[in-house]
Amino acid sequence: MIEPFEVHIADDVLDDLKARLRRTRLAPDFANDDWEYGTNAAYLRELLAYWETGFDWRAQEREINAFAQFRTMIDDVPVHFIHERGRGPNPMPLIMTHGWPWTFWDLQKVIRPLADPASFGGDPADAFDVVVPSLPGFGFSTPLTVPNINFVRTADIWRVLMRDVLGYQKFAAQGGDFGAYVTAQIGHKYAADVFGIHVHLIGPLGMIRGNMPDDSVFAAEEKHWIATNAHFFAVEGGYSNLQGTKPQTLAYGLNDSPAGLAAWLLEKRRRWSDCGGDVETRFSKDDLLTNFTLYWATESFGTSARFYAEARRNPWSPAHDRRPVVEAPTAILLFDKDIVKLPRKWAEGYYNLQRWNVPKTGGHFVPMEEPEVLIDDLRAFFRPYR
Amino acid sequence: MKIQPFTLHVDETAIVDLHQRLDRSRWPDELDAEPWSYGASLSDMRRITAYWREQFDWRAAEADINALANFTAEIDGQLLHFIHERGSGPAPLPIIISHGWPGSFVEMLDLVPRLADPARFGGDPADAFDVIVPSLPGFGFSDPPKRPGMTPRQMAALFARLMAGLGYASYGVQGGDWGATISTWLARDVPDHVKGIHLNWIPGSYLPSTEGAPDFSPAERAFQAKMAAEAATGVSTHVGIHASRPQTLGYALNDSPVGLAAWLIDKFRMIADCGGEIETAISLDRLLTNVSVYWFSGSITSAIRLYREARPEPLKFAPGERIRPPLGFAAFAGEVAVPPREWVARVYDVQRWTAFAKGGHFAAMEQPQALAEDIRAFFRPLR
Repeated sequence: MIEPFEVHIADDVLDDLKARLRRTRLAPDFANDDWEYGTNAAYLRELLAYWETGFDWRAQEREINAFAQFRTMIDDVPVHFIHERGRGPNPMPLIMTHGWPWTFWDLQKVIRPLADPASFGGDPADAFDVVVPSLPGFGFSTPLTVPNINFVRTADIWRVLMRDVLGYQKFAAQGGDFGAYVTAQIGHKYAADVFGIHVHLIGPLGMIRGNMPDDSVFAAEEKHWIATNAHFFAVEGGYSNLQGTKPQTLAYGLNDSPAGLAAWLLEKRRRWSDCGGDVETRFSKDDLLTNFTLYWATESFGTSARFYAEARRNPWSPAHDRRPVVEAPTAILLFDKDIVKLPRKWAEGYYNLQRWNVPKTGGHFVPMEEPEVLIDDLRAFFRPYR
Repeated sequence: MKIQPFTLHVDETAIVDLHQRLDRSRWPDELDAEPWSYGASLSDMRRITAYWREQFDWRAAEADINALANFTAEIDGQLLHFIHERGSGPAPLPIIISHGWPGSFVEMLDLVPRLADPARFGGDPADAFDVIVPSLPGFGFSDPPKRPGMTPRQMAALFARLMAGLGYASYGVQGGDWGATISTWLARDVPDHVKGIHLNWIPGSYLPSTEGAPDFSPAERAFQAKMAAEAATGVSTHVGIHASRPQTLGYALNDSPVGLAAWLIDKFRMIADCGGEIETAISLDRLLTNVSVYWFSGSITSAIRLYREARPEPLKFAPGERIRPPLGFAAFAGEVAVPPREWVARVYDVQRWTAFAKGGHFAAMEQPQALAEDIRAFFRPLR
């Protein structure tokens, strides 16, 4: 059973949020202009002040509600999704999966151009029926009350959503961050049900670091990724180990303190985007605060962080032992400034690789940072499969 | 060095604010009934927080702290808070005791009187100590460092100056957790002033040279494997975030008392010898006194930054390098990992090694009497 859904955060939640922001006991900071110790207090203070006194949540909510949204339950998991019907002779169904610390709304810029290319200077023959769900335990796919839901289980749920709930017998799938793992798992387990998959993050589905390709597999133009990958795991990976083991311990503070939540999410936006240290070159304050408000108002930080723990506790096991592991035709759009990049030679063995594109600018948050590149790449890749 | 008496008095408005924040706590959901499997359990945190709000008496805790002689000293612009309890006996030996994280000077409240006045606890006044317990820079009522680079070694240098300023030319050192690291730096950098070093933890960064040294024993190999496994399974996940982006975490913990309590108490429960029930090892009053000190001083962020400051300066030893002052080690069976004696003896001059069947990482809180007796016995021949 599908129900139409509109976002409406209650006034008392917004009033309480502002009251908490007003009472923030901001941690002291020093010698941290470069954010090396973590989120910089001066910028955080500026952002929190705007959240309290300038930010217009209702305006953001109106923009979200301009999209057709629905909610349903699949295997006791609440699933919220945008469903934007394509305008063209033969729209291809496409499910797009976000990551952490994203929400479904990170796809906001690409949904309409993909559904209605003609209105954005494109060819109506490229139209998609676009489905953008919130990951289980994220945003409005809450409250999540069953354990063990990770990217593997999400792939199963998405297939039910596309085939059984929406009636699409064959579809296309796209994703980044954890959404790329969901998408690759669909391409692994349900290759026959998809036209192809498109991802902008790659890695072994077992997610074991020991499975990482050897340095010698990186081509000359990829060699610099070895150091950036190592840096990420050594210096930026603390959040992942924590969320992968004790998400609940962290959730007490982040579910109780909007400043604490903002600091946690903001650091990733700045550190992982291609922003040159100025996060606002990639995200406006409104973009950032809409994301934070979605996490805050839905009280979903704990279950979103738990997605990491469920990945560790319920390790991926292959649905088959054929090669490539991901049999669905695959397009990889790998941004040079993203956080972790594996080499083409490795990808050729792991995926049924049909397209490989490495843009020089743009970081981890592709649909927000480089929506045009993503749109063009998606259209070009899926055109022959229509 | 300017020394001033210090009396702890938290303003009433801060207590009211804490209570209001606790009343307004916005609790996260918990998915399943298996408590503590994904971190701090909701029912336990609700129970402990209710106690904090309804029954815990901060003014009584404050009186316990003020019953000991507290001071502040300013050294090179760094304000240090410390307990300085004079010994009751014919010839008290000075000893400086360093705490760690997630503890504070509060860890030592039950240890200090046992060392300063042994007769009151069935001991011999000849074993009395002048006890000095500083709050580490950035912890509790010591100011946060004003510049980066306040490493454990720098803290040891500050503490050496504190002891000199108090007129002590020769003293004992004691510690666990970060306090063990600081104590080791004291023994390494100012050995002429250190009569002996007593530890109840061997620092995680301790790394003897293998060059020209005997091969690892089976016990040493097993210990190394255990430490690596602990690091991988979550006992040490706090280290990853503290040592990389502590400031990012600090905002929530400094703004949310339940967030702070969960972060600290999860750690206490994991590494105290409590079988999963923290109150069996440490009273809720002492536990919440410690949490309250972090809260009222607003020091959680500056405290966890220590992990990041310390990272570039591990306790690595050159081939053949030894720590000269003799070591007494109290090995508590419930500790995260008890190292083999031969591992410790590669660098330290192990003169005393006592195994305790009961007690964990917070020996001074969990087993103050046993720890006090071991410290007295170790230093007896060194006086």
